[in-house]
Amino acid sequence: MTRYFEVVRRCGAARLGKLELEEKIKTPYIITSDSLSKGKFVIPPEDVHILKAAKLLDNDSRKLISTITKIRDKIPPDTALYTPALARPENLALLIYLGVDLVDDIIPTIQSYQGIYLTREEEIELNELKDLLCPCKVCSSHSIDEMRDDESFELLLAHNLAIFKTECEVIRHRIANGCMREYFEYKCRLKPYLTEALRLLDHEYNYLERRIPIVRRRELIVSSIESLNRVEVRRFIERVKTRYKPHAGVLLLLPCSKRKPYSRSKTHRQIIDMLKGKRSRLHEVILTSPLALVPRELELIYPAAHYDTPVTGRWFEEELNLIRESLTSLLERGDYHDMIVHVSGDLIEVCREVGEEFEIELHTTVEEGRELSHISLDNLRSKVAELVTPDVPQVITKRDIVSDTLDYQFGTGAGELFLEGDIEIKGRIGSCSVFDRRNNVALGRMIPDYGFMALTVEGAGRLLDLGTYQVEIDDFIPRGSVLAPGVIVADSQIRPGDEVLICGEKVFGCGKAVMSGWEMEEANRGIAVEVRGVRVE
Amino acid sequence: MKKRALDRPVYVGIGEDIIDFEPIRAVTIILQTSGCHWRRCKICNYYLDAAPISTPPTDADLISQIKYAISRFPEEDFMIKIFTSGSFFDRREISEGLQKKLIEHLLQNRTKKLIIESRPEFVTPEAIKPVTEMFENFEVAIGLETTSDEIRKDSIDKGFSFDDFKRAVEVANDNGAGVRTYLLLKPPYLTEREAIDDIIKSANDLLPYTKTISLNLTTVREHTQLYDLWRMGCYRPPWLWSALDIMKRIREDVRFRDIAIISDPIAAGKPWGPHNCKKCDKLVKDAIRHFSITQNVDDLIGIDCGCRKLWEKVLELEKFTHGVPLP
Repeated sequence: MTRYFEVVRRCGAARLGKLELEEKIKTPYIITSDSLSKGKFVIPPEDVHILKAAKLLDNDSRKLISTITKIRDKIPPDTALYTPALARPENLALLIYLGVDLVDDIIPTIQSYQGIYLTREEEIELNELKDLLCPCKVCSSHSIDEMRDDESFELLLAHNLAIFKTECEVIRHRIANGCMREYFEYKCRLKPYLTEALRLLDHEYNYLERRIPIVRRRELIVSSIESLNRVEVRRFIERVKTRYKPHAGVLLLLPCSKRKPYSRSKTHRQIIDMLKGKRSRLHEVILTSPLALVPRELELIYPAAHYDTPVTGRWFEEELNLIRESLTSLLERGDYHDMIVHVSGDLIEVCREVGEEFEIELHTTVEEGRELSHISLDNLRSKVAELVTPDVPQVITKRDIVSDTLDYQFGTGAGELFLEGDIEIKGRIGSCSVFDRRNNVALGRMIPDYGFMALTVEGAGRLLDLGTYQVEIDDFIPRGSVLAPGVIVADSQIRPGDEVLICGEKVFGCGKAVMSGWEMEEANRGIAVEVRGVRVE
Repeated sequence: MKKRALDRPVYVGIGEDIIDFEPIRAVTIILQTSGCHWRRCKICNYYLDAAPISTPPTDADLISQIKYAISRFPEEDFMIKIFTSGSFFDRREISEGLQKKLIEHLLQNRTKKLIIESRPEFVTPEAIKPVTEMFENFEVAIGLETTSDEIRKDSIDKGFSFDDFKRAVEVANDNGAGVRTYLLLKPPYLTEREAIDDIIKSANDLLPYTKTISLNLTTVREHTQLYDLWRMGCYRPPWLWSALDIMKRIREDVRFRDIAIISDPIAAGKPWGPHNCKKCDKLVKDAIRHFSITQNVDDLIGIDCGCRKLWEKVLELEKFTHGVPLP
């Protein structure tokens, strides 16, 4: 049974935890050389795994990734991982991003005695430095000459340890905010082996995927080629291809906008103006990088409403390929006969290629590469007027939006099950509530922050037959939260942030997952599910 | 390995050594025999210098080897140190009769002392007696490496115990020979601090048994287990500071007043040999060499470099890396 260590917050593989020794320690934590040599820091026999000889992994991205991911997958999730004599400011973000909880300052200490001045980005020979580069206490009260002449190395040591500590604090802050990925994408630029590590890790995919939350309130910054491979991006593309059911009739392909959700942007408001009265009779899909395509119904879902990416009008071949593949999948599975392409540049060619493959009538409406010019918008209006006549049946209603969201969240078929019978959808779509009119009970509500449906117990009950996202608990009535030891089995698809069904012998309920399904099964400590409601059967 | 004519020794060289704390010229002879029959030490590749087992040198070859060595002897007084790439007293390398014959050749009035290296199991009255009958001042040199049986077994796999050594010392002494003991600074799997402590402890244990302690600073040799460890990053040869520190501590200890402590660092300053930082390697190595001849502790004092503080930190922190050397 876990006694010393508990994970309190997860951000992918990185975690914030607390280690209960004589005093409570917050992880990620730097064990000081001083406390080690004075015997003040004694590593507890349980709950901490020491990766012996970890120093050998330094600078070797392949060995580092394979060793740490393997060991992390092997030891219980609520065991802290300690890598002795490996961490320095340069690689600390990588280690913690991989799931290391405890490090020490042995290497920065040794580097100090080697005359190396550390910054958060660089390791500089003190002899090659013209001025001290940092505003820490030591550097602001001493000159470079004083530091150089200090034969005890104490000034340099104090500075280096302060820098190392700051880096750790920044990382802790990033984990707390859920933005560790963005931080490491930035830090990995410092050395090729770090970038290599990120690419290898993304290539392995499952290690991170098993740990990355399904939703996040934060902006997702896509600013590098590695961002295209991050779990959230691949997951969205994958779900649109597998869980989402395309529609039929007239397909309207639109450009993305900087402002999210798209429909609140100036671009989309102008386009939507042109579509007045026709919107429910055609299917709007936004073409974008890195998410490839975002059906309008899913535009609120994380990360569709949360990403920010540099837009230059030029596309990388990787980005175009993603769009090509996703559009192909959409047309293959949908039943569209006309495709209005209101985008510009390279995208038109991609649409044309894919459209031809499926013998869909293609209509381009943008002229001179300007989607919002009078003439382009006019073309759009008249093309829509021509194709979407009043006798064309509705393809997208409020109900479709809710249904598609539920499919995305719980798997194909969830929407149909959930919306069976006499249903009413009240309010603006982004924050709508769903009611069962016959029994007069609420079933769920759209969470505007990340576009998921939050369920009520009754709503959850409707999804029971789907068999997914269920957490089977022991024989008890949960209040407030379900703790990990109380979980018997949990759906392996569950990720932090997912809406889940709680199934017990005496109770049925719903809540929000705090950890992944596999972790609920393996952990002995910590909150597994925050309960929203239960009913005793 | 280079092919070598069987009638030539592996090495003949002239250096310096001491007799009763007095410097003297020293001729080192490494005879080419069929080599060590143990061949399991994790640090050693000397047996690769040996002649092929299929075609060992004949008695005549060995006699020419010794004659060749004699032709290189210096004009003044000197001592002789004889090694094989194994044990001189192992009859599988050199037959008993031949051992005697070879030593007879060395008998000259300029030869003030003879040292012959052997593993302890070959130190027998039959082997020692004929030598002491010819040479009044004779020492058997034994590579004990450490007095810790555990370290000798686990880190080196030397195949004999401290008790075996003590027995050999007794046989040597009973037959009129002294003993020179080789200790190995920093066998694998020890931290720098543990390595120093091991030598200090060994030296203390050796007080009743030896006249000279020769400190071998570990050098990484190709085709050894140690070499693989080193390539993996799991081993660092000893710091010269450690050797200096040990020699100073022993020399300053009055209990050792009759025991000389000497060392001849090999490959000092190289990554595979004992080293400090590039700046002070030569300085410290020279001090150690010089001290080995003078036994004057002043030769070790006042030698300093910025990396000494680093070495002190390494001593303090290395045990917390769980098996990898610093830095």
